[in-house]
Amino acid sequence: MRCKMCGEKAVVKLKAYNLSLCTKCFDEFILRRVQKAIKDYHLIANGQKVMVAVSGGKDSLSLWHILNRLGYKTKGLYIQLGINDYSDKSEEYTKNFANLHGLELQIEDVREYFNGYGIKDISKIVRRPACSVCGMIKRYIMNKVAYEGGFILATGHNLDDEVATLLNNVLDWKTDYLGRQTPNLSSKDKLVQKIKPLVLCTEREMASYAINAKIKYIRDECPFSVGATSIFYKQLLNQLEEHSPGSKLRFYQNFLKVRQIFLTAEPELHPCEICGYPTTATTCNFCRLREKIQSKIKISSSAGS
Amino acid sequence: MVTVILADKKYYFEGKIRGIEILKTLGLNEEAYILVKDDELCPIDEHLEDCEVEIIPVISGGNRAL
Repeated sequence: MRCKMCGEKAVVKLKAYNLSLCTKCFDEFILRRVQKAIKDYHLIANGQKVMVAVSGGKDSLSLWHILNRLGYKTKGLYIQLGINDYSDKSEEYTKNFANLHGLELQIEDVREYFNGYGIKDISKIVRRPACSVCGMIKRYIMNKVAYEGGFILATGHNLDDEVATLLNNVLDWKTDYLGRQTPNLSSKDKLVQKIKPLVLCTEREMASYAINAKIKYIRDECPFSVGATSIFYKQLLNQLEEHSPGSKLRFYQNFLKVRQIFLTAEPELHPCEICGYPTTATTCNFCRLREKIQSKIKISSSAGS
Repeated sequence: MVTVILADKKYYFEGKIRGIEILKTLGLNEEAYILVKDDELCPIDEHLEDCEVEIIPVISGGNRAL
């Protein structure tokens, strides 16, 4: 198999583009895909600083790597979730990556916000699924840290992530979610602009990029992701892709062309009475969760005394 | 003989075999895995013989905020 661009030995076959590429041409291909997403969806304006949310996984570390190579001013944000060995290991991978490439990294620890409790404990205390609690906490901290530092926020969502979410939203016809599913969520008040520069790259392409670029990333999956519906949807979509190459990209790009029809009036936001960050209620979900944890601690300590 | 490592398991294939045939034999979708040989990407069309390759899953999941 020869590279279609330069004739060297190809290492990757991209059926969606009917393209085989060598190491060098594949690297250039990925950079061009990310640049295309940035340009087509107006993701980064001149002079904007980008905070890259990093988890130690292939997508977020590759995104950070790529944005730096493209000359953007970046800072990494790692959120320590307190999920036993998995979190410690992923923090280690992230720190090593930042050190190796001389990049600035900020670490926030969920346990410092929640009286020493990590995601697993919080989920048990409030009797809510770990993924739901985790997602809400991460979104709040990422927004807060990016806002306070004057950054826009970039996440490593790839094409497969977006298409799996799209399928989920379409199956249930969650029209309000469909209206909000975009690679570029504008800033509003204290909500920073959120961007997804990897939306034109598949998960397989990102893993290939990481291997090519010698990026050491955590291969273990979050213990709470076992049996996740999104994984099942990704497997289904990969079967579709194998049968009809390019399906995932077409599904996503054609959706973006019609997304506007799902747009609804945005809910009215007010500053949270505790933290001041925007919420539709009087108190935001994050502060309500903190209050809940604190009241449970008080109850259990008074019961013990 | 080709030694294939997938997660914590090892599989052995006699003689010459292509990466795509290994994936098919193991019932794996080629969109969901990459092959790595000597820390480099290994094209799925390549004929393999007397070597060790690792199959790396690419799907990550859960409620990803990152």
